[in-house]
Amino acid sequence: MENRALLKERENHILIKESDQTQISCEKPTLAGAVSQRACVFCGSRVVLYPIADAVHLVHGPVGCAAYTWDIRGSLSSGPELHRLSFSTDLSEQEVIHGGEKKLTAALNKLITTYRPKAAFVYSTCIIGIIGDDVDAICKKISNVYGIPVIPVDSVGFQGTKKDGYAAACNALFKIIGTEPVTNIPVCSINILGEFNLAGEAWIIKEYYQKIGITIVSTLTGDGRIDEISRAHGASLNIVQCSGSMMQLAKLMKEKYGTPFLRVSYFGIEDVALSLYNVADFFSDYPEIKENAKKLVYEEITSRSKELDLYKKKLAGKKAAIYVGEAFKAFSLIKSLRSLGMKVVLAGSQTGNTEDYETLRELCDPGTIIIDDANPAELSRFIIEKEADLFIGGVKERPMAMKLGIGFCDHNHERQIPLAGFEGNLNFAKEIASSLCSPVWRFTKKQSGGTK
Amino acid sequence: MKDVTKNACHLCAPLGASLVYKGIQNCVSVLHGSQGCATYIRRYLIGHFREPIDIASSSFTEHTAVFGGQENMIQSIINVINTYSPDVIGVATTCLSETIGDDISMILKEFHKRRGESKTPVILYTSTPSYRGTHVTGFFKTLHDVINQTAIQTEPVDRMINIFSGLFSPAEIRSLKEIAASFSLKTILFPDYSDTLDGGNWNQYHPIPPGGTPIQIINNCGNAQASIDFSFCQKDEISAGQSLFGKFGIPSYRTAYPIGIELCDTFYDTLATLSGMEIPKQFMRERERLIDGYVDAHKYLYGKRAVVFGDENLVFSVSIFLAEIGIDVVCAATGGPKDSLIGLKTKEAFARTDILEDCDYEDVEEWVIHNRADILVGSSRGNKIARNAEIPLIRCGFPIHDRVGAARQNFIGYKGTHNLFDQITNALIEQRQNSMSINYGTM
Repeated sequence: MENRALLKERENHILIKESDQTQISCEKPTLAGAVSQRACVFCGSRVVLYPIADAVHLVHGPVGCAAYTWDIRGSLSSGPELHRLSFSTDLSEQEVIHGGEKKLTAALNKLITTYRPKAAFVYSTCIIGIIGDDVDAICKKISNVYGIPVIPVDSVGFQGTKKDGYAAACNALFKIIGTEPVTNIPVCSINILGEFNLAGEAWIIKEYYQKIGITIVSTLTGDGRIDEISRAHGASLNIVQCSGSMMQLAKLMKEKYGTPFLRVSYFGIEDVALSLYNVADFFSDYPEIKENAKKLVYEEITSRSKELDLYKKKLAGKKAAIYVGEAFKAFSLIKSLRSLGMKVVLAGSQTGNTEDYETLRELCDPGTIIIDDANPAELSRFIIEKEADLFIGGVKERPMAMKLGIGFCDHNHERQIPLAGFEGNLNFAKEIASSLCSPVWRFTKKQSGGTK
Repeated sequence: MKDVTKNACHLCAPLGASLVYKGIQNCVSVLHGSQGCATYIRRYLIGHFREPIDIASSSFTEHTAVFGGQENMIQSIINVINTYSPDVIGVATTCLSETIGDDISMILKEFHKRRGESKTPVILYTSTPSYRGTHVTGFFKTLHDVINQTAIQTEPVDRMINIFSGLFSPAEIRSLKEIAASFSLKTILFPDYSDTLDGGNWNQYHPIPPGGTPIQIINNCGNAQASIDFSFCQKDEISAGQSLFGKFGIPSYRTAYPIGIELCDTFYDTLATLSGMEIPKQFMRERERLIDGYVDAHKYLYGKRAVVFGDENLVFSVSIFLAEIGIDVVCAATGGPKDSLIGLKTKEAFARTDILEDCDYEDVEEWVIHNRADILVGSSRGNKIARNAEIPLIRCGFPIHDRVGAARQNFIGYKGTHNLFDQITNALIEQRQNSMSINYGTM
């Protein structure tokens, strides 16, 4: 491929560690026509609230937004599975002209009487931002009729980026928190924020905490339940993964309930262990927790080290490109790949902020491309230029990587194999190896005279 | 009118538009609306085709929504030109841009004015708000609009026909082209995404995947002798063949998806008529084999109860095929608009069939729970219904998100029908085999 020039407006969203000393441009609206990998405000809200399994999630607008987000996350539930159904007011042209309030009321009545949910979320899509349905008033009315929270989610697609959708989701959650009394919650108790129980990852993490003596009040957005969320203000500490999406909620809770928070990540041995230790340190009045944590980390690591070593041998020296939604994941992946003997040559995110990109710059090796809100033209160009062997991203990037003749690992929200925790770390190595070590690459041609 | 749509059995119109634009050579589509529309549609199509699919967006902001989308649209076209150097840009609107009242033709006029003498790709556009129609009507409307905007009549070309495709798989499109070529016909098949959405492994990265109908060839549609138009269950106003008939008097053969003996016969007979040739022997042999297959397996099929769902055109044809082999189509369901299955309602064979239009997957599941079915035929979105009812689902149509090979599935023509026939028959045999206490090694 000829090396097409980057779009001028995109140039300062990309930097090379060391050769570029300037600050990266980020947290900007997406450039029109750039073929961004981002979605919209609605998407941000929908993915965060999606795993709440005993609530009805009603998308208010024409059918597309609901249809494309039907059952799109691998978020598992240990009980009800209402979240896996897609509900839409499916507005027609006439309703767009005359207003969708009647339809919304009818839809909520129907859904609540049919499914008896613990709550309902009503997502506003682009059209609602234009036609101005009074969603708040309808939600209030319906909530009074049925005695359950009916929460409007202000997720009008064009009113910001995915990140604003996260904020809308946090605001929605915040309305539920504090609505139930808290009694009998032990001191050593936490909420898990920003863990979506993809492939059961929240269950793995919960087990760690329980084993070291910590009680989970709510996992909010992973195998989430309204009752638990209502009591979340009773926990002593909020543990925030996926800070890009959930930090706002942690801050709101700190302000209102005084709940302190810690940022963590459950990807890669280093970060999982650190997370457990940091949480244990928070409860330092109970030294047995730290002892338990040490024991757990030791056991979890040693029981898998032999198998992990086998993969390390296979993966040593390989080069990876990472493109993720939230920057926090890139931090962990860089460390985790390094521990497998691999090198990261490109790292980017859809919604990172200045602080995130500074952290990325510190973590990366010299020469690494750091990129904000990338598109296929840029990603493919740098993959070729940096001769990456592997791409870590989501479904949208998968065929691009494969056409480029390099391996792929799905680390997005559709994954069905847990990649979090110690067991997830081993799965991660396995996943990468199963792509990189496949004999099929013998028949393909890696581009730009790569090393394969 | 339903109160609420649960697990919709249709997608929105811009998806259909994007699919049509993938069938034009060196074309990039731009959706005029929020960034999410483009990204969601990309993701949905990639899940099915497993190929790179780039779709640009004019990425509305609040400012755009208030002051109109002209500047964003113009900027996105320029950025797409600079990134992709396309021959064609296909613009489709969304619910957002339509509701604020953006006029694409005015915006394009302004763009061309500003662009002046600079080299500019052909820019096509269509109106596809999500609140009107479905991905299927969006597909045919875009096909119609492209032909309407590009076809010109100069000198009629002998033995040349248009084939206006339906929502076929890439393999099916290849098969249509081969069949038409066997009749010594020059064919303009549009939209042809048989390569763009089912490419090989590449030696170099292509920002726009190779393949598709070149725009110059599409221009030539006005010189064809006839059109075969697969918009069988659609209204006339979105039929490309009908449009060419109105404009240039080119006869249009509205043809059902050729699945099963009866519907394939119609299709091959049309080709024979248009070419003045007899049906080539190879197809007659395929037809004989198919009938032989029907006979061999008829006892496994008679009286079995099938539920068919998806794109109205596919549901129509598959239902007729199933009835032909002795399977009772007990429920035929589509997310397509009211009356889109009117063709089935008027046929005797479906007098006792429950025909659901403008329905969703929960309606289909409800139906299956309250009635008995032996097999489901439709998109992979039916997998929940199949799993709960413990009956097989033959994946067919769009989307197929839980299996590989969607792009290679070929269920049309005599040969393609035989594939579908074997899959259905074997699924029913397997179901019976697994349910027996004795493990029979024979049928």
